[in-house]
Amino acid sequence: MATVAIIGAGFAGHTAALYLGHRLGRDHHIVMISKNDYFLYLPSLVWVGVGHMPPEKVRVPLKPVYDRMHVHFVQGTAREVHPDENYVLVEKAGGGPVRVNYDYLLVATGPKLNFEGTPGLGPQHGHTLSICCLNHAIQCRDAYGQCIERMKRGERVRMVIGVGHPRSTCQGAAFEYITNVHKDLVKLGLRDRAELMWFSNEPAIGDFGVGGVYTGSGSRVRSSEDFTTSIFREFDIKWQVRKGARHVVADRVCWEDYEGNFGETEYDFAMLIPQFIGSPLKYIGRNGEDVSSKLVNQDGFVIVDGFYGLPYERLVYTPEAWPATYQNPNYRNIFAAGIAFAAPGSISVPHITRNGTNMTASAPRTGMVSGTIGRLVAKNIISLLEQGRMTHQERMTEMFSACIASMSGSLWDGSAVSITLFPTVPNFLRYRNRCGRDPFGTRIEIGLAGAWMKRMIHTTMLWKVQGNLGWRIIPE
Amino acid sequence: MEITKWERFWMSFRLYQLWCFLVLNLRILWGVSHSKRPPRFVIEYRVSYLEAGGSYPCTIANADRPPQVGHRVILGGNRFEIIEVSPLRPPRGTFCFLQALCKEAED
Repeated sequence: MATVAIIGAGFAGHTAALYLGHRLGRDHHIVMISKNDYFLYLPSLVWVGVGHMPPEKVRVPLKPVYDRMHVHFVQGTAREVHPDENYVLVEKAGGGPVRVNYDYLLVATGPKLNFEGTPGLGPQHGHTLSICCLNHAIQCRDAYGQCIERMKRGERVRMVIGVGHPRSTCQGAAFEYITNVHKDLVKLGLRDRAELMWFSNEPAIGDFGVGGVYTGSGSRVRSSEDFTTSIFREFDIKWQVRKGARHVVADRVCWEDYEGNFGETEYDFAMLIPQFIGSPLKYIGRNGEDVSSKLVNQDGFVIVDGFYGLPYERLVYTPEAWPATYQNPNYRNIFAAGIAFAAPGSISVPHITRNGTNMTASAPRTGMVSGTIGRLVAKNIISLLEQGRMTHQERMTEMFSACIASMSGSLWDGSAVSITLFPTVPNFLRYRNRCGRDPFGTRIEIGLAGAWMKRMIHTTMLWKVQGNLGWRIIPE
Repeated sequence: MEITKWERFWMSFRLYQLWCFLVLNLRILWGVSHSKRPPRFVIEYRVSYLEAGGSYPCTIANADRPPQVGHRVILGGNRFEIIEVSPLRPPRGTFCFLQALCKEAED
């Protein structure tokens, strides 16, 4: 009887727990370690942040699901991993440290929100807001409500929405937020009293950290840049791209741009997504020494079976550099999934300013990508236990992903940008076109259909994460 | 290239959007089925068999599954039992190099 421990109950960890519990739960010991006792459906936090959805509709209690799926649940924060002795030290919620032994370990911690990376950023010790976790989204909703009150009193409010670090990712979530704010203000009849500003580190508007998306053929090729520019013009949203926030003070964001110039953008309300870094786990060897260098890179992301250190120009023509099995090469019983694994590089074009600032949108691997990797790792662990070898692989250069960016949640007159990417990371050797992706599988569309899709995904995903009937046939 | 008025009309035309919704669903299912690779992925194992304290010279063999402790192998006409398996170097992609320490089988 083997023990499989999973750290983190996000998209990757929870998906893996469902597959492992379903297949191995009766014969083996599956342990989930999570600091929260609920699964948080992050894509709908954007609706919480504008007050369109109550917080309880985006979370699912984990304990009943895991009881049904034969997964042992430990609520607490993982502090130390001892890879030589195969155990994790967990600080239990409301209790002391607990030792969880494992035969296989899946690190699916998600990111640490690195607000410290930009002085003055963040709702706790800074001046800006975020929608990256439930508490932040609730704070953001309340601050947005105060802005609405000010506007109702006749004041004019400057709102800056985007990303708050030169190496941030997840521009799509910020894009959703700014368009939802616009639509909400239009409905309230207050749009003329708000000045909306998009602030991002992308190399071009509509890049979204995936190098942009192209759709159509011949002379009718349209890019995500075209779509985003059109939307922002129509919505009267101003934009500042190719800019990285250096620090934030009470009323302005101080930034550096691609050319190395410095400047400031004033705001009354700012929602800026922070940089994501690896979870601050300690990796301790047999003799108490630090073995982090064998397991994580300098940002704290777990090293897996990718090729690291390739320059961008080589990486774009080396699809096999992206990891296939998400297994750590030094400790073969440790896997990583979702944001926790170290990507071999960025998807967007990297840039170093003349001042030496690295201004590169990091590779996004949230949502569908996380869930897919979680499923893959779970199936490989099942294969290892049953057949003694891994049977699955899926690189991001061969992985499908979909992103539905809501612009308004209404099912009658709402709208959303639907982006499908196949593969997620361009494969220029296989697809010899401008964006290195399959022209049928890669599309960007705007319309009411996207709003329906977003709502349907919300409902079906919450059904899936509860392990209800048919959960396995719903795509991650 | 800006979004044209004609495109804007289609974006809010509900019957057309219903068609788009169905196509989007099919595209997602198509994409998921194409990115899911069948379980054909096999790690190639190269195993170096070594007799512990014995006189039998090292043998290197290819295998599609890792050797297990307790398993019996026949090397050079002699039966050996595997007593320890350890990686000789970290696995890279689909390749893994292992060392299997053996002793002569007693039966």
